[in-house]
Amino acid sequence: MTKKKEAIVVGLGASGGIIAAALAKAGVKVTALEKGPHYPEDHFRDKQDEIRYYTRGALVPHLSNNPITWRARGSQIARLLPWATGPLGTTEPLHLPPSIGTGGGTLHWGGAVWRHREADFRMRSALIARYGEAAIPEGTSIVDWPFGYDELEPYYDRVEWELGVSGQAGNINGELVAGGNPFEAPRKRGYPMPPLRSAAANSRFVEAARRLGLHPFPQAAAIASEDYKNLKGCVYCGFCHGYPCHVNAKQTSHVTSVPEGLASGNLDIIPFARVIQVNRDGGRVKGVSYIDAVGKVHDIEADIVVLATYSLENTRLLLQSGINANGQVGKHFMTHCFGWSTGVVPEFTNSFMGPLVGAHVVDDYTSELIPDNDLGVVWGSPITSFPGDTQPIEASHNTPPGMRKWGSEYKEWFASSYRRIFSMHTQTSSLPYAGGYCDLDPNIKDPFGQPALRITHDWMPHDINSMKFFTRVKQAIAKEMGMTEFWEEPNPPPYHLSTHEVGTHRMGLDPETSVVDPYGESHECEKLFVVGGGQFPTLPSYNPTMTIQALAFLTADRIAGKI
Amino acid sequence: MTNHSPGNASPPTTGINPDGFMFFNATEARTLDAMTARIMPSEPDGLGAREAGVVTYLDHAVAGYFRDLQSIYRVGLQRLDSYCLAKAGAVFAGLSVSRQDEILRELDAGIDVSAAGADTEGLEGDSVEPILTRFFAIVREHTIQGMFCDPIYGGNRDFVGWKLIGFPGAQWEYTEEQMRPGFDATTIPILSLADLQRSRVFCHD
Repeated sequence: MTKKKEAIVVGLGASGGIIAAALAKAGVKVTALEKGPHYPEDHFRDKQDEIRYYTRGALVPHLSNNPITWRARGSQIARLLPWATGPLGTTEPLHLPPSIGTGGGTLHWGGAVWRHREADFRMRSALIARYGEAAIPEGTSIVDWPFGYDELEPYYDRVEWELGVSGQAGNINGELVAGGNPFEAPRKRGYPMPPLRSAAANSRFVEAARRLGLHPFPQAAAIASEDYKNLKGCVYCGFCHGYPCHVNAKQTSHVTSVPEGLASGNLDIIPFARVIQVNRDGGRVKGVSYIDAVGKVHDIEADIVVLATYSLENTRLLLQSGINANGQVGKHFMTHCFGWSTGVVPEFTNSFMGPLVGAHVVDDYTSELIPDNDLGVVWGSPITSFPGDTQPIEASHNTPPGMRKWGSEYKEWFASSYRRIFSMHTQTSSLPYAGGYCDLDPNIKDPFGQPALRITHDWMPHDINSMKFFTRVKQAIAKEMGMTEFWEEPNPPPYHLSTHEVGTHRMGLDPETSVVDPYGESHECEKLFVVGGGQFPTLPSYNPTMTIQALAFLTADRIAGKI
Repeated sequence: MTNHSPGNASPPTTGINPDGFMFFNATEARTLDAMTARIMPSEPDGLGAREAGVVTYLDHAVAGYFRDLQSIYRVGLQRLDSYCLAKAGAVFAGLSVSRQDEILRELDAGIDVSAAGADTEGLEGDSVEPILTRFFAIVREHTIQGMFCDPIYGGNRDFVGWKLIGFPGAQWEYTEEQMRPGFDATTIPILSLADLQRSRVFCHD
């Protein structure tokens, strides 16, 4: 039997949690379909378990039920993500799609938050202004966003103050503030909470960066440094990125948003509901079909449907539902190319303490700030200190090159180094290019008979050169820090999924060249909103989630008739 | 709750598990005991795979969560002994430790299976080498897990792994003082998940 609803929200993660709660509070009757479990606010109290959350990826969708395939080039046969299906039986949760369950990706995220730079909203114009038209790499589809920083600023402010962000402002209304990021775009006011404490090695990074003439500042964090609204102050347990928070310090939508939605009486959550299709009636959305916890298929109808299931699953559902008249769905795939560099500092710094984002960042070379260089890198990245939040098994994988990973030498090295490990990382923007896209895999199906999503993507020369450029900078910082050993992860990295996949249902004003409008509404299917990082026209080198949250508030205002 | 103090761990088990095995038979357990003791040796501090009960971790893991790897364990163990018999005239557990190290170095010389592009085919390959290489990579990875897991999984017995590296385990929180440079974390009493759960019943709920 078909049941009529007012609004259906699919997925209760970073954006779905915000939209479901905002609509419910505005008086809309919302049915939320969540593929994972429903986690109440107090669900996670015993999460200090590396086997469960890191090694076995307890929160993330596993490939057995949620297959995704990858190939480097269109001429190849794709296979299940090879970096996540090795013979070891391990699951690297950060190289699979984000967590499922109420909270979604915000259950396990590290909590790095960034307002994108003004130039990030107009990458194409900025590149042409600096280098000329010829600088746009051939075969790429770099565009400007359909709006600028100023339009999104009030929504960034809402994320910071409604949900809770810790940080140090660097530029309030054009006035530079000491201790903050001197390169940030002007903000209307500071953060509601001061920055987090950092694990010990961070101080070496800060001092070394300053001596090199750089401008380190505390990473803004979606982790409460003190009690704030629904959040409690961080206790620095160190099981943070990849883990749920046991004290609710981490800004997670199952804590910050969903409870208020439930309290309104207008939000009904159906957990373990796997949406398999969006249904429509001509040019207007009609509802969705889903499979429930015991395998029964249901069709439900609603005036409004919001797909908030991560860029990749949003894309799969659009394609599976035949909503792709202009052929743009799945195009413009982008993901971050992480550059991890690790070393050992002389004194105990206890790399297992504190959150990932209790750390300083250097923004001197980010995005358009990158200096002219011999490698042809045109868009830069922040360089982030990573002094803590590293548990033993994770650390055991990251050893100096050439060292045998077993036996006496290894044991001795790990025993003496574990408490002194320090990392830095960069995440460079990959560019949208014709060879990077998603479609439905013709060969692989999930256990429910649905086709897997297929990613076709390879690292391009700009990605590889970006990593090379930043390796030089990181090596200079490492040397200045007095690190005794320092090494890099492989370039290019072996994975093509960083939990920062964006662009595959691009937003724009032109229905011919984009999938959704700036509010996330489908050009092709009225009242179907497809939200998240998939909307991004380009991928800045900053972490995407805060912009995803800002866009979610924008979408919620639109649906509620406030815009 | 146990303080860090190297050297007071349980005596080596040499493959005989007082708690019994769910999946491995005694011969298999003996081979794994010998292998894991070379991957994480007991010398010189008494903080190795044997003391940590790594074979118990492997047994629990392969009987349960990693049941998909039962075939590679069973086949790998048999092939390893065949290989050792052909090459060195004895099964793996019967070789000297230096000969065992040589054999493991041969197995380790294959592909780096922790990187992308690792072979994900089944066990049908007719060459011994890829299977043994893969088997060793799995045992190595699981040995690390058995060393540094929470003891609730059957390994890291008496916090042997955590004592080795100075990790205080399942801590509810760290203080500002503990997060300063140079702080010796071995002064923090080690806690397990079970400790945390027990204490939380009284302290935090």
